[in-house]
Amino acid sequence: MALSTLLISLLVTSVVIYFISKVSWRAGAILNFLIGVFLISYVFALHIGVTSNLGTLFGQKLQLTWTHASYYFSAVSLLVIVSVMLFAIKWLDSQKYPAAFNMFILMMTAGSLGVFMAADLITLYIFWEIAVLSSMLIVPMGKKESRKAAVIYAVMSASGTYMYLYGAFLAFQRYGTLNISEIARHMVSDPSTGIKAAIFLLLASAGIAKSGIFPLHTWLRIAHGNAPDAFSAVLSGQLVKLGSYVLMITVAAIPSLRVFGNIPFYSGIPATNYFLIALGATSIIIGTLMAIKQDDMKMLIAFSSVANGGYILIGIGTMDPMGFEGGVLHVFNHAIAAAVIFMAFASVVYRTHTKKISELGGLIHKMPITFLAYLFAIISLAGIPPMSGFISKWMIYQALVRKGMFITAFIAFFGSIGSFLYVFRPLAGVFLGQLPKKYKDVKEVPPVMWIPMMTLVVISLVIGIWPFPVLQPIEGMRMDYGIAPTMRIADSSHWLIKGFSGSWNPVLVFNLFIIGFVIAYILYTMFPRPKKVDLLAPHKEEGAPINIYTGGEYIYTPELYHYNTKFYAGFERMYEKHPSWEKVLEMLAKFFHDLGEWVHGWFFRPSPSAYTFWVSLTILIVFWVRW
Amino acid sequence: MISLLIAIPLLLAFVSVMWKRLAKPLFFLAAVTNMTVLLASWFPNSVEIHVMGSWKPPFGINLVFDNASFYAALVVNFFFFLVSLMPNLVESYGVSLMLLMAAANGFVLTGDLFNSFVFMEIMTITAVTVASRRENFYNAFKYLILGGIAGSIYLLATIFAYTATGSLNMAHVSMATISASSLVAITTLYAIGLGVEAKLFPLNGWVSGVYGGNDLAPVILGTSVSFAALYMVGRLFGTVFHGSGAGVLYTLALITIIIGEVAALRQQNLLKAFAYSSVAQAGVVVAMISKGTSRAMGLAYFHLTNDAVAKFVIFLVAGFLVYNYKNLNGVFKKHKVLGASFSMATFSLVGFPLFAGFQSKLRIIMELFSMKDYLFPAVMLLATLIEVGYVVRWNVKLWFEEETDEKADNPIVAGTLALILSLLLVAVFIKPEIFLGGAMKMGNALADTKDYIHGVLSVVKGGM
Repeated sequence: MALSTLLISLLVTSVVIYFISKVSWRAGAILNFLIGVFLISYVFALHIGVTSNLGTLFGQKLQLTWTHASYYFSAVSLLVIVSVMLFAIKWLDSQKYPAAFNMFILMMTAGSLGVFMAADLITLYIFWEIAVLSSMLIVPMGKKESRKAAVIYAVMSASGTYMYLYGAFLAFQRYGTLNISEIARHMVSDPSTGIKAAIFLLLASAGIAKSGIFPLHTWLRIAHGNAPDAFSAVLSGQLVKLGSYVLMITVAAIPSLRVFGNIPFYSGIPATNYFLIALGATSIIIGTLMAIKQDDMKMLIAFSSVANGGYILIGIGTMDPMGFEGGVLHVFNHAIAAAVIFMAFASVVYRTHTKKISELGGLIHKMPITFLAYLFAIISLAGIPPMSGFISKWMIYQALVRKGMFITAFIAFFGSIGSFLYVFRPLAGVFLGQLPKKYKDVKEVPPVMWIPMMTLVVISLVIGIWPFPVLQPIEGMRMDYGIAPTMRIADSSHWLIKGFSGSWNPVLVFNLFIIGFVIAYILYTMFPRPKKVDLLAPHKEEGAPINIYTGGEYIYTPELYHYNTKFYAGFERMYEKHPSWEKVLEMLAKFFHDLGEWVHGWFFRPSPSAYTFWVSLTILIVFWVRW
Repeated sequence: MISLLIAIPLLLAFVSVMWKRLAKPLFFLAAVTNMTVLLASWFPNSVEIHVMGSWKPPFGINLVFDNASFYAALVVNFFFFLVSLMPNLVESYGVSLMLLMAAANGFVLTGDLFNSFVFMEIMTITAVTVASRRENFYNAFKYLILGGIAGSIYLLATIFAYTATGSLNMAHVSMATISASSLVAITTLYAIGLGVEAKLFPLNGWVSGVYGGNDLAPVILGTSVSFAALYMVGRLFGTVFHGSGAGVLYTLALITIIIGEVAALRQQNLLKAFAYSSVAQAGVVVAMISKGTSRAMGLAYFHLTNDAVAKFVIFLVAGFLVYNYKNLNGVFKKHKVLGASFSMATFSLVGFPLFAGFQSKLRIIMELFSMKDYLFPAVMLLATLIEVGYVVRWNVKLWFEEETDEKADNPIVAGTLALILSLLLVAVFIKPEIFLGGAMKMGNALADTKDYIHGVLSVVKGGM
């Protein structure tokens, strides 16, 4: 099947799925999952270099082509999407619009695949919009706040997209082609730095908006935080990666080191790339600090996505072989980790109907598998070996140290330490601690929901031990983009990842961990077990005061004494009065609203006599100007 | 045969004055006949004229039938035809609509400046009666005043043109050499005179009141009458005055785009919000016409056709909702077909891929870049950004907010029409030639003054 046929038939099928789902949404969800499985096998079977024509638009050929990058990004995306599709087979019974969900998620899959396959800027734009549009229509299916979230998501995404479109046409007007590789070729020989930089930044802005990089990051909190729970996994695990892909296209497919070789800024990195790296570093700081503050577990991970988007951008932006591969590998790691975390949260919400950390606790006894999935995912997210998340962060650090970028490296380390803090908060608040009485009947989610989570966890663990299957296509990408040197970083015959200051042997590390684990387990069995004491429990009936009291007062609101209320209060106090970028953007939105108010008041509301005045004034001004 | 387009609705209008009950079927009859006449004379591909009272041009009044006026007449009559399919919308406005139809056709077909003024006046006055439906009197009155001013300025421009050239025939005027100062006066006055109907800032104060005041006015005024008015902008500034005064149009149009979108953003009334959006789209079209090349004009009318189809669906659905529900939250859960059509039409308006608007918007931006105009695309993309804001907001509100227990019957005819038209928008995305071919022919015909002059002044055929 040709690539174009595949995408078009996926789009058509999505509409069919809607009508099937109208009859039985479960049948639709199962079909979706089967289609997803087929797509995965299709993606693995495709040969690199296959191209296919989509048609012509304005005399330009619209082309799809299958590269190492398409393969890698499509595979990662499908892994996330298919897991969520499987998850949704059960989860959808808690949702109001299952039929529309099934349709749009398939449509979005088609759009995303199209983006990764696009050989020219307009094809990319078309599928990009399809992906954005269909995902934007899923977001408002959540709770009340999600309606506003959809609007903010759409506008923020569009602001990046339209800058991209302007850049694409600017490139077309200058180089007479929309094909990405041809534009890259022309840009290398173009003498005008100003226009090149403009095209570069305009194209990159779509990626900045989509992958949640400062200053267009604010939609992540509200959209990922309020979207239907399982869909947040797709938003954060997959859709955000569309942005990373576009950033990678602008930085690497257009060889920025050669194009902007004449404006080096620091350590051989051009000013344009350094600008992006600075944005990435800012995102890490903001994402980390804001994530630490959140009481809403989904918003917490949404901010963590901002920070991780920053890692990816920094890694790719260095255009160092180590950094590039680390950044691209981080796409995979964050996709898997974020998907598992959001699915774990979706499972928790599915059973408890709340996403406030301070209202939860002790679920480890009730939902052990979900807990385990979450635990492994945060280990990967925080970049702790032996999970795969460590490897990508290690590679990015290697590149930063080698380039001597100490400030950025410091920020990256800071983000890593910060991530320990924020991923621990839901762990402690949701799964550990006291189980609130009202959740005493909560059960583990059914296998259809935990199987996709555990599958992703196992994949992440396996890749952490044996990362070479993922690193190989990444090295293929690096060769495609000609990022020197040509030597292989991932040396699978020696089980090594060769860095600048030493190498990393993931198998050895894993074995060490196993040994450590065994020792710890032996110690655990040797010492006496802790006793379970029910601190808040002994009250007889609902509403009656609890048998503990402080300062002579009965406690009627034990939530406030929950250790997870203001978990990091001491730390948060350090940046309590931080400036808020969200407020700045709100002011901008308000400006347009007020402008509308002003225009309305002056020109559209007045009486006929005022209209006559405006007509006369226009005539006078026009005559005055033209005479 | 072309004069039938004006004569039949006019005649039937007078007939129906006597038999009021027949007005609705007669309107339908007029619309069907006009469509038949047009379909029978598909794209003339040459300039045909039809002289009145055997006065050969440049004397007397003649109707010009070329690709441009054919395509404009086709679009105009198509929407009248659609309206005539919905008798409950027409109600007692059959007579007005027939007169409006005659006037719009006359306005499009005429080759005479003064004659076009007459038709414009009839058009405005009948449009005002349509606008006054549902006791929307104050807004209709505002429209009447502005239309009256516009008419007198249009007349003044015609007088100036006559003084400067000694002729009222468009072809003849376009041949004449006009002194620079007269040209400034004439084109400025025409720009203002047409600006009211073409919804240019700041002459568009009437739009929200009239389009937002009832359910019939936006459906017909926002589609057919807009198209006729914007056709005349192309005819006058493209064919007759060879792009003189285009700068004024361009500037006003760019301001119109931003102002329209900003005003739409704050609007809480569904009909009014999209009324402002149609202001903004008219701005895009006028700015594109002011570019003057045949491609630019063709793309402008392509965009306008897409916009008219989308707006017809939007206004049809919005009119139904606004007058059947007090609270619009989540109404589309009860009207899925209407909702799907509305969403598709609004997405086409924004220019999302899979819908017609994408084709025209992208082509326009591309054309502008190739003309090295960097400002207009930026304005257009900024406008689209604002558009995304309110389009998504309305869609989310109408689909996803908590619904109330109000209930209205599904309108079968309107729903079917809306669905067919919104699927047409998808078809145009896949195969833009459906509209693009005609629009490009129209652009060519408007830009080709020589052919127009030759056709009008040398060949005489037909007659009445």
